[in-house]
Amino acid sequence: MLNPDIKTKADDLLERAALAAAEFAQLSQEETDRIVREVCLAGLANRVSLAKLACEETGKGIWRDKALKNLVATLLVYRDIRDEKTVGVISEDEATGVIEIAQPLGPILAVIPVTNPTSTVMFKILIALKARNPIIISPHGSALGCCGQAAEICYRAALRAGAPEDCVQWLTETSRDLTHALMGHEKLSLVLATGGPGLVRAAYSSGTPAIGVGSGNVPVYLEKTADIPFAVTSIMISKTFDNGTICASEQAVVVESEIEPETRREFQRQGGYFLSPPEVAALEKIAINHKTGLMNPALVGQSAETVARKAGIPSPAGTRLLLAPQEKVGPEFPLSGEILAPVLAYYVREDFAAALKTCIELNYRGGIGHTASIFSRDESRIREFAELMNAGRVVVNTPSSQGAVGGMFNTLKVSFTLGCGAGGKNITTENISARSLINVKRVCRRRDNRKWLALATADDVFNESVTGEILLEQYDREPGGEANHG
Amino acid sequence: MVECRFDAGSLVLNCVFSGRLDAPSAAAASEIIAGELEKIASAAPVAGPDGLSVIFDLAGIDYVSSAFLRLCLTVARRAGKGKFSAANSSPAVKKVFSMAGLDRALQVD
Repeated sequence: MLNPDIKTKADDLLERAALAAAEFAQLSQEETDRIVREVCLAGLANRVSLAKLACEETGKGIWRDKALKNLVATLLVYRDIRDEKTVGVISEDEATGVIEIAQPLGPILAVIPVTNPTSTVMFKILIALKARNPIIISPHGSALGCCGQAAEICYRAALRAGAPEDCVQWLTETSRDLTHALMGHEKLSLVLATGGPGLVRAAYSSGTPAIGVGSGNVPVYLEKTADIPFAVTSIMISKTFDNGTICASEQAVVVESEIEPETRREFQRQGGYFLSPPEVAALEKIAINHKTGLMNPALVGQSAETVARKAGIPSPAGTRLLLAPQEKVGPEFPLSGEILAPVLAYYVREDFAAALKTCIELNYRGGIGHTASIFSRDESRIREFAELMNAGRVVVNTPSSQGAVGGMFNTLKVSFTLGCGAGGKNITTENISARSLINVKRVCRRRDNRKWLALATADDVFNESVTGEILLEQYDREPGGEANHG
Repeated sequence: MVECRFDAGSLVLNCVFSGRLDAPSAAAASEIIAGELEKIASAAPVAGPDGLSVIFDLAGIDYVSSAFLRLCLTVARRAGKGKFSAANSSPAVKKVFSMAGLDRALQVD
């Protein structure tokens, strides 16, 4: 039985959101876009203070990198969605006779992770408002303050620009019961869940439509034709960014033996420290919760030097990344799983086939549907790698964190919510954006399919001795296209 | 904005709205209606088994804000179950009430 206080809170939040949704649905594209622009500008103006606050409050990451995340979550997201049609008629095709009209979904509950708190708040607010959906922010318990501040900054800007009251609301305390009550509330239209598997499962089980994410265990494959200094630089940029807190960051390097010595030297030159076997064992002890098999939250977002110190490893000063040579993949090799810190498992394989198999094992060990990365100049190898990875994103010759988020080193939609498809127990593999948050209705003018009409009225249809091949041939032979003007 | 007329015989307060019911208009209308309800309560005690009914006439309206929806809810709660209705709404406005989940509770026509 739901606590009456919790029920009242949930009812109040959703009643407000429902009223906001009703008002919002009346706004034009121009009015909506004005709101989105003002929210972007307000977020941009506060990118540094919010980044510092996020770092202080969560104890994770690097404030300068969080400021960059805030920049991406506002400026790049805004530019990505600015010109999209999300209101009214969004397409019209005289030939097919179909008009597409955008409808908002309604109130959205946005669950925010501790790893990218303020950036995910601003990202979700922007895409929700662009689609004219009110949003309720549910922050991680360790990031209530910075998320609340980010949400308030966005909300005040939205109001100034003419948005409905309560278009943005945010929880100021965490309560599993309240989150569950909101998720299952009849007035909620969507749960937008960025977080761990338990949370995403709860979202999908709530009865409300949900868009969730999956965990990543990104393999980065250095194929023998890779530009090694470029590849290592890219990996360092990605894996050390915000101390490895982006779920799309590389988790394991798989390198072909032919180029291994040069790769190792390059990592060392750029601040990578290769762990000895005893040091690997020491790190294994603290990196993973041995009951759950999941990463130790105390290491998430900590620098390589901090991680080394916690493990009792005397890494050289200036160490930026810890590399742990591994033989195999699996629970008995804890470092072969996801660790959101500057730690990389390191595999050496004799050839392409062996390397691919290891990448597949890594992919399937807790990273299905997320992201895979390859550095190569051989297009056929790239294609083969991409075909075999079960990943929503395969980034090529690109830092994986930034590559998967999109918009910086490729033309993927910019997003802080990366779908992982069926393998990741998500509904999509897309980079979630504003277009994911509208319902499209299609007005369909009559356009007779003359081939169908001719076939459906033929006697042959009712004579089962007429084979499928004959019917197909008759259908193809009929004059006219399949969508003719009436 | 809003013009209110109270029929003491039938105990019906009829409020006719015009213009765009954005947040500032809704706030202004709210004050006017609150004043009318106070006047009715003090000058014409609501007698009889059925009490006061309130009708919001929305014939001239093409946009309603969430503030106006809240005003409808507030007045409906004050009037009591079945004693509030919103009449003559355009299809677009009726849809707004439906989206807010209020069309049946507020008897929106």
